[in-house]
Amino acid sequence: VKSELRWCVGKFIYSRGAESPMHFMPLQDFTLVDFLEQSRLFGLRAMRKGLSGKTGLVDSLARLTENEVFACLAETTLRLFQLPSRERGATPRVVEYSPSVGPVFEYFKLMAETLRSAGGTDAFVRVNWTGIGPQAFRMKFEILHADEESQATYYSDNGATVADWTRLCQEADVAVFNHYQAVREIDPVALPLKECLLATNLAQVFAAYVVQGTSPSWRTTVKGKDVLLPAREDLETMLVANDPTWRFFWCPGYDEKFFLPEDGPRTGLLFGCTGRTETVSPVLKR
Amino acid sequence: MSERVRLKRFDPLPLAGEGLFDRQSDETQLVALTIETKYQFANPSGEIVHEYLLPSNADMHNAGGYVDKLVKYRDPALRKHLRHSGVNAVALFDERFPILKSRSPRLDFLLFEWIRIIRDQQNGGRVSLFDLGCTVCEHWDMLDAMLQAASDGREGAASALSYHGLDKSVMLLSIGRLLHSQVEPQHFQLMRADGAQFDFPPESFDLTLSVGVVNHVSDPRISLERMLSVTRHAAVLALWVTDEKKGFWGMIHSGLAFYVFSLQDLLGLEQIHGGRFYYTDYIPEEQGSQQKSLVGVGVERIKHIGCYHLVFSKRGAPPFQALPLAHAADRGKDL
Repeated sequence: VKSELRWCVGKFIYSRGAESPMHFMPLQDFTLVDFLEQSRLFGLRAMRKGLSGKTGLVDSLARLTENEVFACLAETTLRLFQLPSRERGATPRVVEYSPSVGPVFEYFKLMAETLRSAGGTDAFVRVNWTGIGPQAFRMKFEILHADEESQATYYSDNGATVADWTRLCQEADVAVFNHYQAVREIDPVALPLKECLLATNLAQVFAAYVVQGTSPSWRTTVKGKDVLLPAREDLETMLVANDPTWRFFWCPGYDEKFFLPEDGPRTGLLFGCTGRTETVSPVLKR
Repeated sequence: MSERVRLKRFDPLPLAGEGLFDRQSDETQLVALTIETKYQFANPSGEIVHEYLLPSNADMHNAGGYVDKLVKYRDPALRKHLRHSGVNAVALFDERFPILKSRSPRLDFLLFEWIRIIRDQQNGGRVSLFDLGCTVCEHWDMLDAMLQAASDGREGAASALSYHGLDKSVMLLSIGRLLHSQVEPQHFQLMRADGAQFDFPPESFDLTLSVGVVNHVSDPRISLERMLSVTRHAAVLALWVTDEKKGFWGMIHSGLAFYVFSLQDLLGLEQIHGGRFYYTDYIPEEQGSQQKSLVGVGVERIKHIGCYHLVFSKRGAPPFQALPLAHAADRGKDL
């Protein structure tokens, strides 16, 4: 038997100190989908473009990136390009599943430009970033990253398969599987995490909502989407069996209120990367 | 929606017949507010069982909405549609592009008509436009789409306009700047100020624009007067107006004070500024896109409120179908 819940989302307005709200205004869909990601994107871009004075977008880079999944993904991706084996001066090619409006891409560009202006030998002039995700983000991703030196391409994940993911990976140097963001969108998670991570030998980074234990478990997000969350231990075991260089960081309870409360194993965020870098140390607490 | 949980949307606080502030006097009162933006879930007996908090920064919310609009205005498919269908009232109601029939593009269309006439009169010189409450300058992009479509790409906002945007949000202005980094800075000027705190000589701008902002600046009546003063040809406005005899102060969901003009407030300005108000549309608040945006105003009073799409012309009748606002005051709002 299905449980039944009434739900709403919007602004609750209280007289200061009061327990009951005096007013409720429902929020429109567009504000729910990506306003947070957009403000991150523009905060990072303001820093990259050197907008002088106060921009209202961010107090500091540390404040913008601290404890944020997008920042961990971008930092790790950059480190994968800084390995001694990397050919200098080549244009980095990255494929990302579920990039939303592209904060990982934007932070990568910011860090790469910072390196370049500091005369770093690992500097890149441009980046080719390919996103695959919900069709709803295609126009936004491409338009918000237009007029830039770097190239932004986006494919819809509607009907996409593991084979499509593998094909895109063949044209990239690093694959970023942003399962965390895919779960947060309204659209279904189109690509299966475990199968995609096992399907390529590319340098890889991922962030995923998972459950503790060895069995996957269904959860329902606050947006009303049902998702089958992979099991942490099962996922780690399978990936290491395939490539012993995988490294993992487990953040139990990270953003667990994003799911409706129910009995079952605890949710959390699992962060992983192929172990070609030893310097990844995300600190995510929430 | 979930197949595991039966989710039913509800309003935790439906509007009452009479709102908390409906009986207020004209005296100013301070109300301290706490605003939480969140998902809330309740069981069938009404007990709250789960909440998920979102950032409550109003600028972030606004940025989300306005950047979304701007991206839609830059959609190559929308621009192609305008090029093929022509920039006209019919093209704005195409089902494939629902954004075009929303308030802002309809007001931009009024500006576009005026821009063409002024351009002709000025032998192709730039038209100066003051955008009061410009947010991320998305009106520049809609006008660009219209101008490009009408000229087969020969001209756009970058070559036809001298744009001046004002907003009090430094965050929105920064985003506006980032999204228009290719436009020549001398023809794309942004300033940070409250919407009643600007000071330009009379008739500084050919055209002025404000979409719903004048109502919630620090002094709406002063703001409107100044806006009409700095206008040379015409001002295009969306304004919330009551058909009650007197305008009144309320509050909007972001906690800002909000003044609902009366028709008499507006018609009184015609004497001062030597122009005339016309309206092209009236949307009752009950049918608006952001219902319940007014705090403490009950159902009965909301029936009197609506949004007028207005033009204040100092150059005679506008170059499109519009009725004098005095008509609404005398005989009702129906067009």
